Amino acid sequence: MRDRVRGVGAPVAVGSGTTGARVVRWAVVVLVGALLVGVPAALSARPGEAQADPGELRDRIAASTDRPWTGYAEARAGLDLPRIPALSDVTTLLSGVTRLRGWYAAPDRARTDVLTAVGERDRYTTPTGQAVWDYGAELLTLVGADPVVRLPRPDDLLPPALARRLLAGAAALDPATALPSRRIGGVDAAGVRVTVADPGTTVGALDVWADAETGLPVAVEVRARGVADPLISTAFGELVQGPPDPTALVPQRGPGAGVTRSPTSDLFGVLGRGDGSSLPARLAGLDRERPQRRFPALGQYGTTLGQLVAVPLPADLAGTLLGGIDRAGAGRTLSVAGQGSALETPLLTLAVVRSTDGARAWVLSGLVPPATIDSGAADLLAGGQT
Amino acid sequence: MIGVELVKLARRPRTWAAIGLLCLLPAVVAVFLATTRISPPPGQGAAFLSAVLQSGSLYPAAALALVLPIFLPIAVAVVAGDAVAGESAQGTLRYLLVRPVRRTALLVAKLVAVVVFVVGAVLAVAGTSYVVGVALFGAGDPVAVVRALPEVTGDDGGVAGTSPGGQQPASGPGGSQVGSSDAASSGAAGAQSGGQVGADTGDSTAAADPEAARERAQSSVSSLSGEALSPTDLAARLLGAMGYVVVSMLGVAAIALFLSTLTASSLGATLGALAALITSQVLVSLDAAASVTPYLPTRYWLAWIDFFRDPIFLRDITAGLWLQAGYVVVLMLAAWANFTTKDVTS
Repeated sequence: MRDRVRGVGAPVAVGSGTTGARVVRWAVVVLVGALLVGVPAALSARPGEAQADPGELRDRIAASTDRPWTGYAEARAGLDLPRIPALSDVTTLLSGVTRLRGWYAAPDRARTDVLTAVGERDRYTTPTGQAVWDYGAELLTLVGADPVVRLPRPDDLLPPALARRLLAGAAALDPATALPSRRIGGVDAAGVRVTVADPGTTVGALDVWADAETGLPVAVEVRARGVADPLISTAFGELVQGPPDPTALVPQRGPGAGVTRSPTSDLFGVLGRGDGSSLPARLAGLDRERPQRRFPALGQYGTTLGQLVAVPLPADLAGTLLGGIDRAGAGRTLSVAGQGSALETPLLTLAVVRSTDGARAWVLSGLVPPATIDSGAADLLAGGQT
Repeated sequence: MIGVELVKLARRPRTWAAIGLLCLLPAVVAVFLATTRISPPPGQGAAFLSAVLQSGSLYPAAALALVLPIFLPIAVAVVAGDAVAGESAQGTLRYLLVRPVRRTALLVAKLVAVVVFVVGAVLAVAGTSYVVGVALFGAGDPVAVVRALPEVTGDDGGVAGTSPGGQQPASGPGGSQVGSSDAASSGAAGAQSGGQVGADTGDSTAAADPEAARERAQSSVSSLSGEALSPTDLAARLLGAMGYVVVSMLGVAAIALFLSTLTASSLGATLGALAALITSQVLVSLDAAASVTPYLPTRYWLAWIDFFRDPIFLRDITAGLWLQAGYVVVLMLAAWANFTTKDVTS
């Protein structure tokens, strides 16, 4: 039986091809594989052709607030902040990848979804306020208003928002140079690099790519002074310019989900409604800006990228934050008259300062060098006398 | 040829054991959830596990999320890894090939059989989990929904800060929001929650109107974006997600099938495919490997959840479909190149 099968199976054993045919077959496999990997890579890597005068492009970007769009963006932030209780939203945002879906009709009509593997968190901006839908918590929060000076939140990392906010803080005289154009989210985008001259800020350069025609920013890279790689980079992966679907801009609340109202969705907003009398008029050589109405305890010092923000902290929250920073083991102890710990990154520094008796405490933050934080902390503890 | 392979598949007890085990895991999870009513905290655990406590009709989605990362790929790798190597090991491959059968056709038939297995497995998981889910959690039954109505007052949609007076936070999962990582919003929400109680008159009318309650019950499932989903809409999205999960498994099937033509050991082929998947999973989660992640077979596996966003988010789904198609084409070509010129001696 065995022999018989072997006899019949002889052609089978030899196989239906010779060595030459085998080589040809494998060559086909390799070729198809290379094409499938190479063609999309080459398509996405092909250089753009857009060109624009850097100064004009910068102006057009600043004037692009009324450009509507719908899209998807990924923001990558490499500040590597440890997870601090009560600030985890911010530390997570600035130390990882955030996937964002956005609909933007006008500054007061927009929606940003933060996508996660198991849900999403959506922020709607409407003419009457904001609404935050949290799928995990099954809760829609109607937000009154957030202050102008507030903690970073995910929608700040959308390329248009980040580009406009940071460019607004750079000085008009900061040199703008052209960057090679890129194809981003289907847009042939022209690039501009604004090199920040102000030594009072850690921000070294802002690279922005924008649609040369509409000025809509499609990608942003933020570099710290003296650091070669961008610490924050965000870019559209998908973009359609034009008015978004209006139905997408209406806040939705799932069946069975709760609704609540909150005057503000920002920690600085909550703290800023308190008593601001412990804030000095001058901090680290910067004058305090006029406080925003309803947020008297929000201390904003300066308006450029090198601005400092100081907010009085309740004793318990100050303790939590100081403990959190110490436990994370990443803080620098400030040499001040009271107690102070600073979470430092090449770009952003966040410090918590507390007086020796524990009665007064502040959070101090800015895109500023350590010396400015030290000086600001000393000024806060001295009550602004220095 | 295909028919023969399908019959072979159906006659294998292993096929049914695999499908049975796949259905068992979601059922066990459902029993624990239903008896303890302890769902994973928001944003953690498998997708949809919190939501199913409200409506069991969403349980097929939760079940897919449970079996997708490990159990389904293992089952697929076992079946596909055995496809050619199994015949080889049993010594039936040469008998098979002495028939006037083209080897390419045999490979295609094997692939079709694996696809049918995946479709069957996904359908079985979804079907049994729907039955289990509705039996244990109810399909958003009117009684439970009416009980929830004081929180869910009449104005669906159009919530945009326009509703007068505001509403009381839900006492259910919404109430537990305080204490989430967002200190600001939860703290502020907590401060406000004592405010207006029962400001909306919709409660009593809705509760008294069985018609409204029934309508509410019918759309008691929401998308991830908060939009209420009608049963038809939910069914369509579930079908889309199931289809996508089936396609996601094609890459695994192709890897295992290719390895199956290389070796006479089905176990070797299966483990090889699983090793490839684990490598892929590790690299996907590694930021340093960002340049290759778009080409990894498991990169877009979780994109099925995008069917439950509003509007449906197609970007990753489309990318996932292309990626799986690429894997199937290249690996089936490789399997063909290897198998059609292979000396079959066993």
